[in-house]
Amino acid sequence: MGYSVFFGHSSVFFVGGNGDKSGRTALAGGCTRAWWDAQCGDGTEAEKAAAMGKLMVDGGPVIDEAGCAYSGATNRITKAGCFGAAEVGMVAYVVETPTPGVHLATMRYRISGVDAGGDWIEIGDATGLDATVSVKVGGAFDTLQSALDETDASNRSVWIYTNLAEAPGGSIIADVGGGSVMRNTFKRIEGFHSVPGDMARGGSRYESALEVLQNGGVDWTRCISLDGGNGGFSVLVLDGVDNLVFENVAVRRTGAQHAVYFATPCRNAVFRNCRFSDVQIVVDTAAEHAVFDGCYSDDDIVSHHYNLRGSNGMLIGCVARLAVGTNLCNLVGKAGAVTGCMAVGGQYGVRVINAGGYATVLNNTFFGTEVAGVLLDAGDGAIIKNNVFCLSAGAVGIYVRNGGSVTMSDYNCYCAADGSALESTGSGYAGGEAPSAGEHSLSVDPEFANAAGYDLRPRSAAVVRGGAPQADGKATVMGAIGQEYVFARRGRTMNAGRMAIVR
Amino acid sequence: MEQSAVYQRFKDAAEALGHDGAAVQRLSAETVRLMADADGAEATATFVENMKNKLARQLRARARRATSTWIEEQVRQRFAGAAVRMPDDKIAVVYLDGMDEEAW
Repeated sequence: MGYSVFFGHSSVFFVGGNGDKSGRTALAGGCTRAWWDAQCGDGTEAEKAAAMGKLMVDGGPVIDEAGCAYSGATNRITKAGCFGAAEVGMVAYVVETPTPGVHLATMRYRISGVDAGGDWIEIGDATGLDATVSVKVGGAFDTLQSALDETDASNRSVWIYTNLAEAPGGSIIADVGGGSVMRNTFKRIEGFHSVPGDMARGGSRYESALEVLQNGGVDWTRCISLDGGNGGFSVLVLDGVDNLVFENVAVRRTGAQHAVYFATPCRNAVFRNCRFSDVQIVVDTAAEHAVFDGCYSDDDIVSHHYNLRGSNGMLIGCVARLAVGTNLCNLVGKAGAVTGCMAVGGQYGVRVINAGGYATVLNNTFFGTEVAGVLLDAGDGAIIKNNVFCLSAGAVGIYVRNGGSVTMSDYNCYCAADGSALESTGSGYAGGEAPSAGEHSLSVDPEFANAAGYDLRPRSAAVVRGGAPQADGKATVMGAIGQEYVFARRGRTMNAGRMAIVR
Repeated sequence: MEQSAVYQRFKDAAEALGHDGAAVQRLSAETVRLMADADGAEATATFVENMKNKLARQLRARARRATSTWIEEQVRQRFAGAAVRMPDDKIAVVYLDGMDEEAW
């Protein structure tokens, strides 16, 4: 039967593709990761565009030939003059004709050898008998669903690069071919505009989550839109697959449904630089180690944004604009972390719920939160450090409502958004003690650069130099934004002076 | 995969034959294609393997649900509020006082 490319090689596939994408197909080939990396040694956009140009034409296969002769003795597929565009490391979709699978299994084979004259390619991992076959080399998949179904990351990682905005008629279901937890393999779905990487940090189409907030909305040209069209279904469904990574995609308009629905508690799902808008809730899941990194969620989301009920749920560097009465994150009955995030508005920043609920809340900025920055509702424990709680007047920084312990709380800044004093901590639990604010915490105005424009860089020297010390004993900055952005000009001057001293 | 007609045909055929998860995992690619009435163009080896994995997973989950429900019925004769969960195929966890619904 032989082996498909997925058995022994990391691989790269596309959805959409280059040009007008009209040639995209459910039967696309792709390439090995090694081939892609060799083509893009410097990682430039020009290299990537050229590599895509070798793999596809308007999203279609670069080679699409019927009536080729496969030799079981040599593993060569021959048709005179038809394989000039093939290279070792590309992936060929091969199907026997007229009846598939009789002498050669239908699958995606790695091309292991090519004829300099373009007459044949070799698929060294094949095992079969002489047959007539059709061959497609390269090309892009027609939909993300096809790419998810037709690839398998259980042995080797798979990258799926998509630049196809989709408005599917039903959920896009990832239920097969995920990565392997034990083998550390992942299936990575990455949105791009022209070439892979251009929507990621450092790319020409990158937009940070904070920029989305400051710009007043999502720029749909800087992410790949997966639009539910208010069709009453979750756009992304994960069912029984682990180690899935989604990057640079925007999930929107799911009506009364979740943006992302976990049908089973999958492990190690990562959402990086994604956007969530006009959905019921971003996610409500018992999935283990669900990670949201640099994502933006909008105030048109009806319910709480992230309801994490699995172990080690995590928000890292996320930004959220929250509607009245909603929470950024609920950590329910399991341990999780919220670090480096910015939440504007809403009811609670982080709510820790039920026995077994633990929270690590570090370096966040909560702005205009209505009721409390961190709420313990019978959660077991929380570590709360280096945060800026600039909340609505009358709110409380950290509040224990139905019991729970704040294991560590210090180096936080408490201030009401209108400049008035803010109650730092409190407890409504009968017989319970209010958490300590911590001896290094501050009740000062962080003096945001431009709070109205969500430029939440603290300028107060006490806040900038008041964070928990690093290992070398030097103070860090409270909140989600570091110091270098605030005093950039002064920093350059000081560095020049120090350079002179060093000389 | 869930929405694929090929998968649905395969699923129907396997259920009609009474296969369990282990039996599905043992099926050959050729048998799967026959059961799914699929030609090779729409059922690559990867797709077939994925179909087997998915159906096997579903059948195992169904068996776990049936088992945990049966155990729950037995235990509830003594502990009315008991709940049973099966995190995997071999271990049943019995909560004699039930499980809290996740609060918001």
